Amino acid sequence: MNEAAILTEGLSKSFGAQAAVTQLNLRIQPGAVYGFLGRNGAGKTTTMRMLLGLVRPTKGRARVLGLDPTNETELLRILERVAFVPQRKQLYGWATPTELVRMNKAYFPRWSDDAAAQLAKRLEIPMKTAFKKLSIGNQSKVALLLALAQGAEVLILDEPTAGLDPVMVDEILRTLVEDHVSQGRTIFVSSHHLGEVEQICDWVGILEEGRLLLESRLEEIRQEFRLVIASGEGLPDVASKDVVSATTDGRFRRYVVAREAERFAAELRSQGAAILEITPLGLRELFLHLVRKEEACTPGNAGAKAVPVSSFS
Amino acid sequence: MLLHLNASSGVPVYLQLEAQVKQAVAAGALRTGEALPSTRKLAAELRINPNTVARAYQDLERDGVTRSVPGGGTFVADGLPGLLKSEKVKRLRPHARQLAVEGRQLRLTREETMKLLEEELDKLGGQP
Amino acid sequence: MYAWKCWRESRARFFFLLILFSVTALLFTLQPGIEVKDGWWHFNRSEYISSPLPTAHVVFSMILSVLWCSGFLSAVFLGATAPGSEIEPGTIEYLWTRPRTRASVTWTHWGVCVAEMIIVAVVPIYLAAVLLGALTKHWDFPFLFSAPWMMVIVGLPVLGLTTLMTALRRSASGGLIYASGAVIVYAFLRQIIIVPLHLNLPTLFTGPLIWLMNNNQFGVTPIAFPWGALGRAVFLAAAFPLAAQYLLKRAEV
Repeated sequence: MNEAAILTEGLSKSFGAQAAVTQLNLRIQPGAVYGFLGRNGAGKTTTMRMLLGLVRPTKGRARVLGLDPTNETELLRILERVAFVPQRKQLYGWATPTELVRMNKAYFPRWSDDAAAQLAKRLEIPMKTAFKKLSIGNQSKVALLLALAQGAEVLILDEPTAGLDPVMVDEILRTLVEDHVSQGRTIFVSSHHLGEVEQICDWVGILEEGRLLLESRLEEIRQEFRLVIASGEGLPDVASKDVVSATTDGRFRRYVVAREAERFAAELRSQGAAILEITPLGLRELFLHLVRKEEACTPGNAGAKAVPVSSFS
Repeated sequence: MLLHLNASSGVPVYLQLEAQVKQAVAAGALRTGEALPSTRKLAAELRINPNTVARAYQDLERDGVTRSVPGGGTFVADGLPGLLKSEKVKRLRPHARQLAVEGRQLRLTREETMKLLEEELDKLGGQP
Repeated sequence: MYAWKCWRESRARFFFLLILFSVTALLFTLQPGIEVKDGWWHFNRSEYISSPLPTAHVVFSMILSVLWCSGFLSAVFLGATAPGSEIEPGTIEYLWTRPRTRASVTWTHWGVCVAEMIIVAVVPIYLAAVLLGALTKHWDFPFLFSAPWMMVIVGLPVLGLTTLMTALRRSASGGLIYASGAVIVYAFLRQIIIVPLHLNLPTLFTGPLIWLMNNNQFGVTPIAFPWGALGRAVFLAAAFPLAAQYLLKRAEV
């Protein structure tokens, strides 16, 4: 099936004068594990909520499994096949996890009691304690349990591991890989745990102030992306569309190059620059290079100046 | 399965897996005919994307280290019977060249470089 | 399962109202026979046997004087847990990502509330009637049996209003306060307007209840049943929730 699991075209959302998401183009194939990264307030949550009909786009369109979330009948079909963990994992305070499971199960014919039981055990959830009495971490786990046992084809997870200890994060990764990725389910996940994203995702999209700065296969980031540090006079700001970011740090220029870093370095050398380093980038470094706003020049500080980044995809 | 990953080494995960399997086979820790864990199982154990494991397994098979069976499953291959000696030598030559070049750059003597190679071979044990 | 959730969530309020009204009704039923003698209470059944109708009448008047608001109270307290109330606490993100239309959610909640309202209105009065019947050996209480239904009819528009206010204010407390506030302010304004202007405005929808309370009194000319008010009550009972349904359909959370 060639149809994308999640598709957005020119998707935009403004809240009054505030633009939360601008011209977002995503195409997530079925079975992909897509890490959606961005700082807080970058627009990740708004995007996910648009996919689930909680918020309507101002412009552009979104399709989940080919269906339109702004159409009520189609939204219903989306919700039957998509599991969602919201950022604010709030459930009914008076209910125990066991009751919440029972309530949730009734909506989904593909619910798996075995998966639910296994997950409850792995995540060490106190199933008989009222939700309002659970710690925030445990509350998150309950929200995850409800989504992961649903038998959905697509998982949309908004910061699923926020606030969880490393052991729990590990268990969740294990469950995701074992029960979901292996079954060819699509996972669209936003997270600040970049290390974990790097482990299980095959695609990564970086959102900044509502715009997609970069979208790439993780393989490509490992194999092709390089950090090139050069020094010299008159170094170019943005040499080509392959240069994802360029920042100045005193005499030095740091380029994040998406491909053919060696050739780019050779070009710089031919312009008289000295190449200090060409190294691979981890996801965290790449992310920081792309979204961190450098400080303005002040006397006594060499000053690092960020150059407008060419929108790369 | 005694495979582990080093997240901060900068080496892609699939390469690390391949290297570790090759090392295990060379050292005799993995014997001919022994089964490797399924893609799904290994991915779950290591908490990585199954595609990454699949990639490593594909490369290992291409390199003749492992072979897969129609019914499913990946097994350690038996010493590349299909490859001619000349092929094997051709494959190893780039590594030998690299060792020679680096040894020369670091100003090691021929004896020191050879000694290094012998030590590594000794560590592997197994057949002479 | 959402209906179960509505029940479970309103359970405490439901039982509170049910018990409160039942106890009140039963106490009023026993009141005519209670006398204090020798420093202690005694129950004297003679009144019930000797003059069943007047006693029943007195009892009924007392019950009605307190329980007339049963419809309003249960409407406002039970209705405040309508779906709109889940927006502020954040559970709406769970509710509205289940495969159910927002309309079906709104009306399921409404249906559960109506059922609860009926029970809260009917049970206390029928319990009192049973007790009264047993005491007086007299079983013909026309108004007593129709009273709970008048209360429910008059409560339904308020239930709808509370559902609407909850959707507007996006919280249970907001819904409760604004709905009861609207009812009180409206009643107040109505009084202010009709007296100086000498208007004889019919009641918006409380007619049936007034008819009941009026015709129950002795020596008063019975008034005709206010079909207009009943019609308006039915209309508002449907119109308010429909407005809430429309609001919630378009809502972004």
